[in-house]
Amino acid sequence: MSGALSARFWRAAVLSPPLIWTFIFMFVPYAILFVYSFWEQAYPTFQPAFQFGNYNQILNDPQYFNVLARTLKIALFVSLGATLIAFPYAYFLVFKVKSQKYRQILYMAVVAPLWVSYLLRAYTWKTILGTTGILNSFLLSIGILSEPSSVFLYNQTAMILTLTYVFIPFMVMPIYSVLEKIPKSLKEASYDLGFGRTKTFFSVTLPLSVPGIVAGFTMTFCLTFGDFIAPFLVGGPDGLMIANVIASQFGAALNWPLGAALALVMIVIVLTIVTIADFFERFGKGKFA
Amino acid sequence: MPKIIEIDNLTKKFGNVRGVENISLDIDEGEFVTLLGPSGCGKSTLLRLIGGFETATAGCIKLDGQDVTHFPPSKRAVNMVFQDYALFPHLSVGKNVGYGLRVAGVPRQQVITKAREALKLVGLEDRFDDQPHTLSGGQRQRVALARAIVRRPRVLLLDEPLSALDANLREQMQVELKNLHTKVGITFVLVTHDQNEALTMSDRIIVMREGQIVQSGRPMELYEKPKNGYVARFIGTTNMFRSSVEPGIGGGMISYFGQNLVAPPNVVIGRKNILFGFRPEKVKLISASASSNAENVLRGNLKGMLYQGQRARLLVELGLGEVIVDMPITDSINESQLPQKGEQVVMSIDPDKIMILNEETDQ
Repeated sequence: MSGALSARFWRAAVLSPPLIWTFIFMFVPYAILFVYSFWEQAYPTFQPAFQFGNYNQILNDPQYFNVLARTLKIALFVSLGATLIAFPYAYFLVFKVKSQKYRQILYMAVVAPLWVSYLLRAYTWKTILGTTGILNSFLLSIGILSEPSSVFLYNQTAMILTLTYVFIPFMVMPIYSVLEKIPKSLKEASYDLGFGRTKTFFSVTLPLSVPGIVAGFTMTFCLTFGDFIAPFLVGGPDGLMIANVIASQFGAALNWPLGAALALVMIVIVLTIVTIADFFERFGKGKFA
Repeated sequence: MPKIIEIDNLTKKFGNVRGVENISLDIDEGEFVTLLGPSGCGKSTLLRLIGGFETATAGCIKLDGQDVTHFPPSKRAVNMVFQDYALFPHLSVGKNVGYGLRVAGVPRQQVITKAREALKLVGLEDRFDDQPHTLSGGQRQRVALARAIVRRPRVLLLDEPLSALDANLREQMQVELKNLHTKVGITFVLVTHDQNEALTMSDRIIVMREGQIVQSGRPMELYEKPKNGYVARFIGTTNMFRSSVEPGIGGGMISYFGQNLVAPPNVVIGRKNILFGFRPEKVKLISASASSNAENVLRGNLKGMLYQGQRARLLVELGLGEVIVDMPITDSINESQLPQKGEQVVMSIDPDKIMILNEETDQ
């Protein structure tokens, strides 16, 4: 075997498994979904067709629009909340914690929960917010409440809290890594050129951390957007999200074509967000001297 | 000359680690001062103290007669060129240079004009709209310079500004820095560990060691009259030796690796174990026939030779030790006239050129 041929053989050998995997488990299912989305329901099953009825239904039935809007709203609140908590935390770790050891510990404190099952972490909030939960016991013990309240659980606020908690590591990690890469001398140069701490933050530190914020925001947003466990555990009757609706179309409702159409709409929304984020992420990238 | 910087008994400690200790130093307006020393000698700490990036543990710094010891960097009329240039990666070259003018409330149009002028001064006016990452190392260096001088600081601080450049570019930038200093007339304080850089550019060199100033003087003064063995070793190459001074025929007599030399004048006869030194280029090679009427003759065998273009550095074995001798290569010397390895070499050293050095530990 000649050298070039051998190199080509090895390249193919290394690349084939992931490509085949992606093709079978990503591309093919999407293609099937795409085909299904034009089929029609014929209760209790469905039959091949080519019609836009499913998409029409999504656009015209306010029920679906409302769920989509709610899902977007919750994803937005979760991402914003996570940013507002994660940025100061990461900033504190990178610039204020002087000891390398404590910085590592505090960083791991955020990341370590990722090793615990998602279900368990979401369930934790059920025990915190529930009628026999920690929050109620605490408020009872200090006398603010006279009997356990059920207002904390099973609503959108509970969902936003839970999802923010669950996905915040994905926000802290990218922000931490961009802040850590900002050379100390850049801030010093800004001070040297007459800027105070606040102005330096807005002129140097914040602009340079945009790629990290965008990356974290995108991840948190997309993860929340596709979540269907939190509505199950801590969401109330008004807490259904788009993923729950899709799941029910493939389950109880037995309307796979509509489910497929909804899933495709969701994919389009997520891809749009990722594309926009990608554009923002390029800002300031690869420019460190 | 009015004093622009007056440093009085300045001390900086990092926990228990010494940064600088009891430094007192005045710098004249318009002077080009270099802080020279090996890494860890406190030169960068001293520069950062002047810039306001470190806070003094004790002592005081005056700038233009005003006590600025506890002023933040933004409130001092000094600017710094950082070792890694510290250009803002998210701003264009022009915006980098104009950055420091924005805060002063300078109108936008004037910021642009002044930034362009500063870039012109360093020969980069055509890169105004480029991003810093598209520039070469030398160009980034120039942008950093332009950004620092555009504010017309009273003092420009330069922290090893040339260390990241390759040798040719470094020499070129040394000349440019010196020209810039003349052109803008600002006081320059430069930190370096490179003795050539210090000798080439400075009006005055301050040699530092372990947080203290060892010697301060004009480059030639430091080279010709180093105060002690440390300075002699750090600036240039020195053949150092110890000897007692015995009475001799025309003054003192000292011994260099077993060969007798006439002691330099001003040395007290009878003193023991004194540190002497002489520079390699002060030794003259003479022919064996001329040696009988020359004074202070050394004889040895050539052990090795480093050809360096404008000169050849000879390593001569003297029996009990080795001496380094620089032989200038002029156009009247061709290859066949260079001594051969193992050949006997006869040299002479003028007693005046033998330096009497203090012990390294003396301050």
